[in-house]
Amino acid sequence: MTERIITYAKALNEALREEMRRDERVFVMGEDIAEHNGPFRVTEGLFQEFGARRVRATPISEAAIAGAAAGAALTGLRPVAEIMFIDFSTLATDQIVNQAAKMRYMFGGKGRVPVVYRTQGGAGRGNAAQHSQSLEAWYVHVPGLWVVQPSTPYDAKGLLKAAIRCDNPVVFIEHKRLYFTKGPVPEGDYTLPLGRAEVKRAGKDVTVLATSYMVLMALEAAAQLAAEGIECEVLDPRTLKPLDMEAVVASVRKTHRLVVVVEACRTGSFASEVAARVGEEAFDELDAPIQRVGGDDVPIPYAANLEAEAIPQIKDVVAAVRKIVPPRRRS
Amino acid sequence: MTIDVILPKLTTTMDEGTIVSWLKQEGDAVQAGQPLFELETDKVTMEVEAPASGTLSRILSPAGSTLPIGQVVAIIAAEVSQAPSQTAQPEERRVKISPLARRLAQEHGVDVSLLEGSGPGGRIIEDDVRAAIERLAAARAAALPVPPARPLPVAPVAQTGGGGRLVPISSVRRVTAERLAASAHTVARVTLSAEADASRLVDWRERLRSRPRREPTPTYTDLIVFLLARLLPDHPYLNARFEADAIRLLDQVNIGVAVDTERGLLVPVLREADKKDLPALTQESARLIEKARAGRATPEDLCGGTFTVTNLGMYGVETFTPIINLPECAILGLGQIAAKPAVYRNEIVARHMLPLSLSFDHRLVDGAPAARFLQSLKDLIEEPLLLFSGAGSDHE
Repeated sequence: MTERIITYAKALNEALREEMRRDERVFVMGEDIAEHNGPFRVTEGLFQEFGARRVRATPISEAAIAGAAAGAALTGLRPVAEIMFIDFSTLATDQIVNQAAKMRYMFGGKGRVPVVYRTQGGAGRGNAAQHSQSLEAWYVHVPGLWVVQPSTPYDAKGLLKAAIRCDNPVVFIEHKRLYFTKGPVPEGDYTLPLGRAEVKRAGKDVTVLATSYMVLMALEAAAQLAAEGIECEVLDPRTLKPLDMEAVVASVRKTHRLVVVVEACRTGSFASEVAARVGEEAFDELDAPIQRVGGDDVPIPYAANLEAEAIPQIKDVVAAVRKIVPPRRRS
Repeated sequence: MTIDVILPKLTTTMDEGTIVSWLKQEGDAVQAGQPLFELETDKVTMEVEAPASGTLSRILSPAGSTLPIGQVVAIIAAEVSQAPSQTAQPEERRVKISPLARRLAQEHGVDVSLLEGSGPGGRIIEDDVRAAIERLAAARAAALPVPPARPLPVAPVAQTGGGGRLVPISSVRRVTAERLAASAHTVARVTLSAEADASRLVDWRERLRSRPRREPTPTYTDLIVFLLARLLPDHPYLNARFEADAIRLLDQVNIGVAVDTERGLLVPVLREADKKDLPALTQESARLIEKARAGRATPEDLCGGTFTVTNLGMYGVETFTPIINLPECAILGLGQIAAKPAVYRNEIVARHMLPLSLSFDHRLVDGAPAARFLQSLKDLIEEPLLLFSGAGSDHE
């Protein structure tokens, strides 16, 4: 397999294309995804290759998209339904939460719902309060759903392919600021296991667990902190649910300090969940209080300066780390 | 928020300390880790660091006070980092310590109430406990199962006349008093004396001294320490200590050298003296003695001895009865090296004679083995070349 440097959007596009070629039960549906190629060009060229039957443009009706996809999955197909903005998954939550997430359980395992809900969230592009939210914690809260948030092109491709092959409903959350980031991605087929975290940078002084776009912020913060002698271990859970607690605890056991970084509002966020679980499962390993870095509890403002203020920046991660890592006293 | 500055426990035998001086005044800004006051304890003076950053709001114990460990000696008004407290701090104080630090402390038996936290807000963190564990380990290795150190009986003696002056007991004096009293009360001390012809030793030292100056010339004490350190492994009962139910024969040969300082008697320890060559030993002893005289000896410098040497030769003393430095088994006293008439190769000539006084604990070792040790030492002093013939050191 040769490796190229391609964008996150292109990596997702390859995952869809390869899975559709590999398995004719796989199809995609959503708003503007056919001739229009999708708002972030993730479905570019799929309509031309696979035609209208497997690349289905839908009306602007999230409930219909999510419900139709859940039904198709129950009949044995493997739909990848796109909800253009996670903000509007609110309209589809009945189908996702009450139907897709519950069927397999309520029918005693006789029905499976191998659907992927692809969507994207996050702020930073001046899209204002209704198109900038990070709502992953809502779905993490629901038993029966798997929740994935890739941060790199490589992870995006491998995890989307794994999500499509997964027999449970997966909420696959991309980030609007990641689509045009680039990274090495192998050509051809590979999958990454769901439920497995990855250390993006090893370090001994503090674990910085970050999700989605915040992984990039954390890596940048880690590079700055390295200059002052603080070694951050940046851990990306990649799958929020099921969460790879083994990897989280192993890292905390090594560094004894934890900063959790999410873009979502701190209150009730995924960061709160990680902090609580580490408090429960690795209390004796902690040498400092767990820090959460997250957005302020405000709707995302439209004005660029206020928007930047409302969501975490590199300096916030740096400050949280400095707060709990003692100045090295030993030379 | 206020942080109490407590009198820390710096050594295992410490139960009180004297504040020598305050390095900050009330109202001064202090940084966590900055030296705050000088504390004299057992036998050393150390700087105690501020546990937190803020303002030194009150000094409760002025310089000169002698206080038990754990005593609050000052209060720092800490920098308010976040939410100010809603109400006044409750009086009962909880030790601020991270979960990891608490667990480590429990596992290693560290009393966290005696630690100072270096974390934010004075929280005790892993580093603090690890440092304490290291100190404990060092102290344990040095193991000081000193017989019950009862408080110095300072019962007032019936007045024998007015006047005179009262001198406060420094902590060096107090520790010296307690240790030596304990030694005198518990040890079955016997002192053997002998006179060695040290002419070759004198000659040896003169030759070393007349070399082109590269290395410092060893003192007579250094030379004797060098020789006896090589002899001790063959006489394990003199390099031993008394423990609860057993006699521990020690593997290491750590020779303490008694040093008279302005602050009192100190005994810095030359570790593994049997493994050091003469230049290394000379250098190490000069360094330790200088530190002790300057009042900068650390607890590590003063513990872990297995045998002590004390030299009163410079005062013209000949033989004396040294008191054993517990928990060691023996101590060697060196008298003045002086030219005296002596019988040498059947003629009466002037020779440099060195009186030796060996005190040993008869509980651990009988008179004959102790005498054999003294004899071997005397032989070695009279002919240092025996070191190379294997005589007197067949332990290798």
